[in-house]
Amino acid sequence: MDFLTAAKLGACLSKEYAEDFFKLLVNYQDISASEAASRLNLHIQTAQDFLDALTNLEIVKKTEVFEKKRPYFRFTLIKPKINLELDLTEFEKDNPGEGLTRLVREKNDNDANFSVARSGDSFSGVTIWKGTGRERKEHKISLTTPQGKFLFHLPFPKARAMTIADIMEKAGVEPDYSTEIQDIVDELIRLGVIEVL
Amino acid sequence: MFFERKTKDSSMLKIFLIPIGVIALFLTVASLAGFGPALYMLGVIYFFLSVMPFITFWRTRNAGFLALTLFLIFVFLVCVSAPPAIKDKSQTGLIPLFLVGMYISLMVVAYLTFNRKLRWRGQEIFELAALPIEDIGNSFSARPRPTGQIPISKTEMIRFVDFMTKNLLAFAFREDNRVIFVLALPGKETPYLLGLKKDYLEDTWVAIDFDGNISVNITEEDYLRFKMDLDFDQLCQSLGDLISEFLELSKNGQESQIIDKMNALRLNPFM
Repeated sequence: MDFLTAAKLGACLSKEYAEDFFKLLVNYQDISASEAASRLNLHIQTAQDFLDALTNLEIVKKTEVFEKKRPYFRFTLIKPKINLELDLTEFEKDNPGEGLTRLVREKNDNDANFSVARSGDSFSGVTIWKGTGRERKEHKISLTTPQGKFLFHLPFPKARAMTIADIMEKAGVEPDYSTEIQDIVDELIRLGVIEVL
Repeated sequence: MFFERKTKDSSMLKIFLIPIGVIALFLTVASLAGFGPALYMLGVIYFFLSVMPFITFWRTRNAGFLALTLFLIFVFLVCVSAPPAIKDKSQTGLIPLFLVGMYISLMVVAYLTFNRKLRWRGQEIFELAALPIEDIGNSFSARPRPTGQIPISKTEMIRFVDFMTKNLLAFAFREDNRVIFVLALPGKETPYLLGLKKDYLEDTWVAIDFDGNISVNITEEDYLRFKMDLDFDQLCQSLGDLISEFLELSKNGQESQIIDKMNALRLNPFM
């Protein structure tokens, strides 16, 4: 299951009326939004939205019914068992080894301010300003200890650039932290604080 | 030693401003109310002027400032004792003693000044740090830079802190795991001496932790003291290396060589 689908499913399951709603869907052959709303004492729009969300997730099937009155939809449960499985390793940085060979250094005139940690040998945070005048906005990033140590050893603007791996070694950061180092490097590249050569 | 100066000098006007002001005030009061009140006023001015050197002595334990304090106190005593003696020559009292004290302390102060023992040394440290740097280019970054490591014991650190403070090279801030040396650059000393500045974050400093790691921070304001945009990375590295060299000399008991290096620059002893 991809993250977006899981998020939508999670949002449905977290509704306070979700359990009662599923009890209805399991025990009824099919049900309309107005019937479910009256049974659960909900607003009809709430029931309609919930059923539509389940339809999109392919948990229920929507069928248009034509009776004497105007047509409406009835909903039937088609997936009585729901498995929510997420593989978080998908978010792991691709090819971290190769990424560590990138030559980086601080970018000149970057409008960033680094806060020194209490220990004095690393940074605790970096603040980046964007825009000018009233539109000027501040973006603060709190750093983990390995990230702070890494950035403390980042070469200055116009200094000889170093590979991420070399900076990590100089800063005494273990290779296990390479993914979180790459994450902050990528973010600071995006924000124009670090440049890749 | 011949070398190309890389830092800007502060204005000579500042040096003469106080003496010219005092003389002008003395002459004005003397012409309006006579020499007696003018001498009293001069004495009071010198008394107030003696406060700052005494505070400097108290903070740095640099005995030269005690000599300067004594000189200013003797001038004060001469000034306040002179008016009665001008009216009645029999009331000279201790004036001859004060005059002897004044001249002796003046000689000592003059000797110390010309030998740069009353000079704040931050600018000389900057000059020495900038000496090997040829590359230029605007590459300033407002963040500290680690520059290396040197093994150091606590005793050696204490000795080095005393040396740096006593010889007016830097103000030391002791933290749990490190000591921060704020360079005594011209015009930066007064807030530290008066205890108005409790932190060092907005100044140029070199930190040495008890594991011997050295980091350097140069502020933009102090970077602009240089005549050209020296390569900032090299400048920070050079400053760190210089302090590391000073520390090594201090560990070997060769502190006099540090002073000799700075004296060899032959910067104006009055600025």
